[in-house]
Amino acid sequence: MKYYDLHIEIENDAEKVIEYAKMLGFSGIAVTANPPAHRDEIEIVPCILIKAENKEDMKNEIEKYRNKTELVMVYGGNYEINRAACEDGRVDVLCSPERGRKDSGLDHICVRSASENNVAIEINFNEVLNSKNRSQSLSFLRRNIYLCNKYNAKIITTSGAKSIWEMRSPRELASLTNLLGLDIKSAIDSVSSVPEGIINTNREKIYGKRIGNTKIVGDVV
Amino acid sequence: MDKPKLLPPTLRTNERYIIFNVLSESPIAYKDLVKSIWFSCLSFLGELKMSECELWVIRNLYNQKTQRGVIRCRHDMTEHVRTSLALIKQVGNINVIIKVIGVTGTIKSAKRKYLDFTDLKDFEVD
Repeated sequence: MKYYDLHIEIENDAEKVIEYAKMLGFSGIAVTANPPAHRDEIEIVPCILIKAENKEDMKNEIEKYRNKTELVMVYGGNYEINRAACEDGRVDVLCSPERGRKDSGLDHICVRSASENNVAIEINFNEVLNSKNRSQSLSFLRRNIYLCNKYNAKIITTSGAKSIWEMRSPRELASLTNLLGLDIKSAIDSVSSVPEGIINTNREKIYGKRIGNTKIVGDVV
Repeated sequence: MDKPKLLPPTLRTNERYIIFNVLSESPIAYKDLVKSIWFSCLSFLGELKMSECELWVIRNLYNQKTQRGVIRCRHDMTEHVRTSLALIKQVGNINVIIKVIGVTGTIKSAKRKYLDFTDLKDFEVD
């Protein structure tokens, strides 16, 4: 099984990041800041993390990068942005919607449209590891997972590491998601098959093998 | 005879052995490691869940060289222990990553599969 960590925020030390990711058992990583060049030993997913202040900025940024990168992620936290990201089909991942808030940052309207538009909601391990009030952030994550379960929205689990020592192995990330209310199979899928599916469909779209939900097989005459 | 007798197999608790590997900058002493494991589990699970867990770090299976060790816990609490091990950031002042390598049902298979016991006595059947 292939495991992916789609959110690593380490700026330097690309060599060490790759070494540790391999040691922890990942077969693909996405480094948001300063992504390293292509390697043979590990798959590096080109990605962009959009940090916007309002809706219009976000839409402009998405327009700019959508056809160039394989993964478009939006930095959540602001309710306006959370909702706009969920309603935009071009976004792949909404990163930690509960960041810096006193509530979970998502409601049933957001999650329903996220499920319709195939936007995945991220469970960020770093938010738990470095939070000041761990019990509170755990309960927000629990609520988001409950809503995603209810409306069949995609969930992915990432480490969100800012240094090498915050990286964790895929099975540990999955066990956190499992404890917060997702069954064990979907929890393991959230670090393996769900991210893999997102990346594969986006690759097909970029290289002209897919239009919308239709896959093109063979040559087009 | 100051010990209670061993319970019959049906009344014993089901146990699992979690084998972990510590990745760190410099070598970690056993004492510090146990302290931080207990601290992390207590703060994450609380006293009540911790009592359900029946956690025990097995002393003579910790290898200082390879930094591998074994934790015993109840069979339905392995995920809880796994997450609390993942939440350990530092042991003393040293940054660490604790990675779970595997879970087994007996110490014997833990030794055979993960701890590289090549002594022939370990494989004897009697």
